[in-house]
Amino acid sequence: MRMPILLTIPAVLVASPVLAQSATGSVEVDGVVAGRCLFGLPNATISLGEISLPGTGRLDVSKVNGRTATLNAWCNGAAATMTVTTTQLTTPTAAPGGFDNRVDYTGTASVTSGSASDSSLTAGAGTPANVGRFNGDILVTLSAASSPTGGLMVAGAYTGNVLVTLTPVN
Amino acid sequence: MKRLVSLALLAMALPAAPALAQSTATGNVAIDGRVAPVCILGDPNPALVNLGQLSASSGPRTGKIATITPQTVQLPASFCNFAGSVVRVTATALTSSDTSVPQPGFSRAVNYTATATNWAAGASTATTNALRDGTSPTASGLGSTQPLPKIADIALTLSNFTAPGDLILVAGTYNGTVVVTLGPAAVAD
Amino acid sequence: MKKLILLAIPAALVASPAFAQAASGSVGVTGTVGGRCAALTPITGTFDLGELSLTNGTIDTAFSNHVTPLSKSFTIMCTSADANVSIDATPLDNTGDNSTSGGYTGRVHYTATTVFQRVSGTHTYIYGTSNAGGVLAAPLGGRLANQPDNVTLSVSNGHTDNATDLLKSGTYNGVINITVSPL
Repeated sequence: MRMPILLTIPAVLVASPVLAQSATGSVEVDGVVAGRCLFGLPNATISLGEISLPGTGRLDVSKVNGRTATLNAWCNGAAATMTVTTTQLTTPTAAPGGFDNRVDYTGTASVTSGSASDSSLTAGAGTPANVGRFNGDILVTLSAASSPTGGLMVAGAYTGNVLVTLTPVN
Repeated sequence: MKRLVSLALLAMALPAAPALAQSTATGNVAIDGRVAPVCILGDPNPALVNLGQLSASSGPRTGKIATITPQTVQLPASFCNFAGSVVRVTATALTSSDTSVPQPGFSRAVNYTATATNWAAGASTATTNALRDGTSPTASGLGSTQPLPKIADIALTLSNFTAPGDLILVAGTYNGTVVVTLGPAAVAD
Repeated sequence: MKKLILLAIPAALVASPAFAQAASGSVGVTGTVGGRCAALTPITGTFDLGELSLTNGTIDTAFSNHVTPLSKSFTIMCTSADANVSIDATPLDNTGDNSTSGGYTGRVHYTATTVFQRVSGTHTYIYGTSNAGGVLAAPLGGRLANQPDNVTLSVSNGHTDNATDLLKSGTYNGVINITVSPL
């Protein structure tokens, strides 16, 4: 009697998922830059000297108009805005009839990408200007000087200021 | 079978990155100026007061000082732009161009009163008191202090013309001056 | 994961009765292990570098505001005697505007450093996004060590094309790709 020759060679491969031959992957790198504005040069002074006319004692507007000062700042966002708030020149002594103790004027701030201005005659800040991303000088110019009645200027020290505000908007 | 160590990345509690506030940035241009204290007197109008004939030409007072109407000079739009100003009046008696010592009974000087008004509450007055020979011809007076800056037409009135001792006036052209000074009240007399 | 290859060879030879001569033979046994690499921990994740700029608006080269660590480790397994590693990385680009002009830039470069632990010692790949062109590919030069965290990736050296440029505001994204193939 012949017996069959069984030659079975089951080669069992473990049922594991077929793996890719290479190991591959990607790692993200993320960062952020917050919208910001910064003044490198935040202060300046304009000294007008004597602001009344020697013969008449009334306001000499040429002492104010055209005077300039330079600030320096940057904003890193495309939607940054700039506003100006101008405060009149005043001296503390009261002004009787025929006299003025106040000088109104307009302050204008200019950068290459835009300019904003404000008159001391209007309370609060002027209209914002979109200056966007910039880095450089801000030129502040005075103009349109006037006194309330065109009268004699009261003697004394006069002070005022032009405030430039930069607001970053992301 | 090898043990595989699964790697759990430690979540380290790092301090949060400083939240850079989207704050506004401001820059400031300070502006200063000044107005110097000053007084300006308006140009006198008239600049020269011509009293004409000083002595009576007839009647009981012939040769003696006539009655002379007070004269007023305006100094228009005079002003001081500061508080605390005062008007000073310095009057010099009229004296004759004949400078020789007058004979007894004669005078070569005419006195008068100069008064500046319309500045401070109290007027500034000076009355000359020259002797008949013309010596001591000058008198000066200060008014009250003007407490506020002021612009006004200062009126200078010349009045009360008299001769020392009411003597007979020598002949000649008589000249005198009034100096009005407007300035800070602190100026010493 | 290991593969088990079972080779069972039941061979039943039944002797024929009463014959003096026996019949016999032999069966050879062979198998293969293919070279393969696998990431036992996934090559994935994010380096969150946080605020990229200094107070003065220029790049913080040290990435000192990083929210997550500046280094990550992975466990990679390769059965082959050597492996080919290819790495490339893209700079951190501002998602709105990555251009450079007028003293501003929207692109931040960095260096991606990958250190492999081999049986024979470490092997380091340095990829700088500012001076690279294309993919960095080179063999490990040895067998990858069979140990956890045998691959460490770190980011460093933040810099901009012009050192004085200010960074444009916004979100910045980049990616580092790593592939390890059996050799």
